[in-house]
Amino acid sequence: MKKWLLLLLSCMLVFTLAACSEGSGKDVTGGVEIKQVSDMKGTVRVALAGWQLDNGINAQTGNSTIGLTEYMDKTFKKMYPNIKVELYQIPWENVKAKQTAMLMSGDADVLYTGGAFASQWYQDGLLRDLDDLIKEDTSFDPGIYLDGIMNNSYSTKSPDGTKQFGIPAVLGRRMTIYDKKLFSDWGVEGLTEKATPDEILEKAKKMTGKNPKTGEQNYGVYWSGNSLNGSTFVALTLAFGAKGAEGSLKDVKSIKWHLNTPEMVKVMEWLKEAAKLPPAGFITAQGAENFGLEKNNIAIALDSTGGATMNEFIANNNKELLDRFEPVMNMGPKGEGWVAVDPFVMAKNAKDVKASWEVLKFLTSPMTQKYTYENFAMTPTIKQADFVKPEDKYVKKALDIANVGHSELMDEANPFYMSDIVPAVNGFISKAASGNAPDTQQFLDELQDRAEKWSANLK
Amino acid sequence: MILSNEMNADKKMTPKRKKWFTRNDWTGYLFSAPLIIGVLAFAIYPMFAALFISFHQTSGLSLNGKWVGLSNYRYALEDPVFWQALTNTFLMGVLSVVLGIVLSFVLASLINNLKWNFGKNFFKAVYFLPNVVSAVATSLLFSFLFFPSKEGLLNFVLSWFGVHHPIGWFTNPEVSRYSIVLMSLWGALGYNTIIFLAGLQSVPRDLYEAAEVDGAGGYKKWLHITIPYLRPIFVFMLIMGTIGGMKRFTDVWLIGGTAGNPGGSLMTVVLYIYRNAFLASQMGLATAASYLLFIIILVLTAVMMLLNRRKDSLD
Repeated sequence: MKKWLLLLLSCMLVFTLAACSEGSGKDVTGGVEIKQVSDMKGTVRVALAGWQLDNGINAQTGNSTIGLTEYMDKTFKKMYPNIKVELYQIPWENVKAKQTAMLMSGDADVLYTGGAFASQWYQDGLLRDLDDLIKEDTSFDPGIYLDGIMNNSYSTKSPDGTKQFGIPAVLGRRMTIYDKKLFSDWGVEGLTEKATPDEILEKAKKMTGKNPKTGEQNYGVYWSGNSLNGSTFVALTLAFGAKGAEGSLKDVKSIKWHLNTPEMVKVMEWLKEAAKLPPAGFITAQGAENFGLEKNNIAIALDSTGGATMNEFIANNNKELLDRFEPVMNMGPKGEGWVAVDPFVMAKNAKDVKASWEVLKFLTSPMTQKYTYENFAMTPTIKQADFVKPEDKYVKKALDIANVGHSELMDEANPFYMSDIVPAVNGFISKAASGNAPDTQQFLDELQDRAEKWSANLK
Repeated sequence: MILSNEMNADKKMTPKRKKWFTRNDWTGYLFSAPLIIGVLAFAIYPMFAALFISFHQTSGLSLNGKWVGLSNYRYALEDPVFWQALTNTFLMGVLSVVLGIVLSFVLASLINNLKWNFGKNFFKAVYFLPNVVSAVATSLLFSFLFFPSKEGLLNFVLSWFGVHHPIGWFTNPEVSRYSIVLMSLWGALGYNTIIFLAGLQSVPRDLYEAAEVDGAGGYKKWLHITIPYLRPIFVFMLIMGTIGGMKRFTDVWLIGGTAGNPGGSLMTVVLYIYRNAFLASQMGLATAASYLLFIIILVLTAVMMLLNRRKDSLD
């Protein structure tokens, strides 16, 4: 009996393994026939922050997803049969330290990473300029990428803007989204296409309290109060014209700080007022779990992605929610905000530069961007993203925002911004939320003083 | 003759000078080489490299930075954020250690007194379970348990007892540090309890029997035999707890972000080091702050060990 049971279990295991070891059988090329492009030889080691290599299931939509390994087998391997691509996946947690180690030890040729990390590595001389490769390669058209992120981002351009070291692959989505139902319940007119901070604050104040129709507690506005990159603060500095600093990241110690200007006071005063309106958990990035869904109680979400609504649409074809949650541009004068760009970059000491360039080019190509959008809802970085679902108004809006985007010194590529300004602003917000906001001018004077001391310590 | 005999005797008595590398020694060194190399490469070298970096202005990619002397130390010591971080760390550390030791000792004593073996094992397993949960999972779990509105589980339960105003466990700067202590107690209680249980089981039975003959009750035996006998374990827990408490990072970072929200109340020294090392790439400043923390921990540990040098009266 035991033998039979063992045999049965073994058979089940073998069949399961056999079934799982097959490819997905899904088309990843959009029906395009893949032909050999070149017989170039080489080995390229690719270090990817956070990508999924194996086939799996999207936990939010329940749809099956094709891993990068199968995608590369079905596409790149046929195009370049003699280039061996070694893929290394690195979880986002502590990715900077791990990828830095790989760069220093010469264990990676091509990397996908966070924009701020790429910028830092470039300044440390660990990355290679791509200008010569772009110039030589007639098949590569840099014009297909959104101008705002290809030409005006610290994640892809050198601090002085003269050299290209990265090609944008994935875009961060940050836009203002409002709930039309709550606006209607309160009798408030919807947001304008380029809603200013003043408009947002004025309308948010009207919609904080007991909903006149449902009687439920509503909150006028929401943003993450402990955001790592302070994206809402960046959008506000753009809106109020508060530069914060002057100079170049190429020479960090010579940056002139302007953190206590009247414009910056306006930014902080706005935050002080607005901090009274979100749910209490916003200072630890909680409280907006239902935004974009049926039970939502927040009228306006800043720097939102629309992901929850879109997932509901993909999983359950819920068009009602799509109509209910409307995206508009971010708060900058042209509708711009802080735009995260994750690029592909090449190591300074890449072993096989030509083969590495072919891999880098392929992984940032429209075909790969279509694959990452369809499987992992990653936002593309190209102008003609015709594969984006017609209903996906959030990605379209993100592309519009990215197209007018530009990097300023209030950016995660700025070390003092990340280590001190963002935490200080987040601390200010949390104090304002509990009704103990410090005097704005004094807070900014102290921050200015701190910034000057920080710069002095570098000299 | 006598002299010569004495000289011979001296020769016999003088121990032979030991050769540095006998055949046996070689084998020993060979077996311990991997460990020695590992310790040198991954503990001793990084410590000295970090000390070297702390006197430089560098992003940490190489040891070749600009020499700045004590500037990084001066900057950290004059930085109010560093002192705020140190105060928070110290407060949370002291509370965690004291409450952790007291509660786990009481718990271990209760479990140890159970007559039923299954009950002992059951409670050991129950209290130890949180210890195998990662700090990340614990932080996520508690951020929902301690949700600051009335929908939060703890606030909901408190409302049954008349506390109708929801407590901002992680959003009120006055409360957040204590919430973190509560959370860390939940995680560490099991480990401490197991250590104490092992200690309790090593207390000689004859001491209790002698005390019983002298008419001592349960409480007196606990106070005058168990506690003094476990003194080395208390000291061990105190030192390890202090070191762990001073290095607090993961939970406060996951909950309060890089600002140590709310209002900087969850800003700890290691979070300060992390911010400077990995967000600002100021590795010189970060290593200087690390060495300051190292000195503080060293001093605290030395003080605790000195206070414990008094010979135990039981011996």
